[in-house]
Amino acid sequence: MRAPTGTLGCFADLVAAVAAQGLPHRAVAPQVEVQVHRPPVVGAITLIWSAQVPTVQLLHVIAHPPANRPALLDAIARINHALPRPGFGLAPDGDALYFRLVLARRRGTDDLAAAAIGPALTAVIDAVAAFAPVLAEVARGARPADQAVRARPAQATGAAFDWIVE
Amino acid sequence: MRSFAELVDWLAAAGIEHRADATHALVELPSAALPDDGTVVLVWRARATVDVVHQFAWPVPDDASALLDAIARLNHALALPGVGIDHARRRAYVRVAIARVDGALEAAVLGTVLTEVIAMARDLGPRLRAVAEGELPAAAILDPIGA
Repeated sequence: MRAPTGTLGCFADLVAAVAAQGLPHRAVAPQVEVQVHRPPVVGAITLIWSAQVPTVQLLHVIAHPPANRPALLDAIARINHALPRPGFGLAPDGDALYFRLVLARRRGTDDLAAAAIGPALTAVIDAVAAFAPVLAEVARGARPADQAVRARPAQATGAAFDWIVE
Repeated sequence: MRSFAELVDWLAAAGIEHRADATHALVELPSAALPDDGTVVLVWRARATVDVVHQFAWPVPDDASALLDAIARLNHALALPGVGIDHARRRAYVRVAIARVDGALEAAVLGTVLTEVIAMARDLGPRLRAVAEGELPAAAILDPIGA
């Protein structure tokens, strides 16, 4: 994957940066969905250019079994605390488990370095690959919440830019 | 800013009051806007991020379930989420991690994040503490900020 250069100043720039990488995607403003295949991370990562607040969000929704919500929240807190770039969350109704990474845009110019996008996608994929299976075990009651981080694979916080898109 | 030393130099040049701890690669910024005369701490991480953190002074209770519920609701609603718990130290905090792009921390991004972390700590801290102390239901954590 080529490292993009330049500055993203609007949603169209974000879509162009994704397209320039040759990533399969579908754009409907203000969101662009990037298709990822790196089991267990399979599906879309949605990038959202917010007009209201100076951010770009990356969101991946994780399928999970019906959960013991308190245990899942405990595990999520422990995992987020351990991650260099946290982002696991659970919707208040308990139906949606997700990883959401938010990039702040620059104060003043309201733009973002294009080079921030690739590592952010990698961070989402690495975190989900490492911990979605752990959270599924917690949700099933097969692992105590306080064992969520101890179960972390060695590569969980690795920075390798090695994700695969099909 | 490509190193912790450059971060400290930038803070000095910008006239921002700070106290640097080079041994731990962190710098404390006092802010009158924060509760409990608190500080924001910038931590220059080895793994290409800089953490912007405010740790709340009050303890996490033994039964943290209500606080965890409130934190999940907040992070779900916040444009820039970052409320968390350090179980080992029994402290709640706001932490936003900034990735260094091509090795560098951008001052303009740090400015955005500093503003947001201080606002979150100031606005959410008292309500999180009320949840932790059993004075506010977790489900009501978002009521006053209308999210």
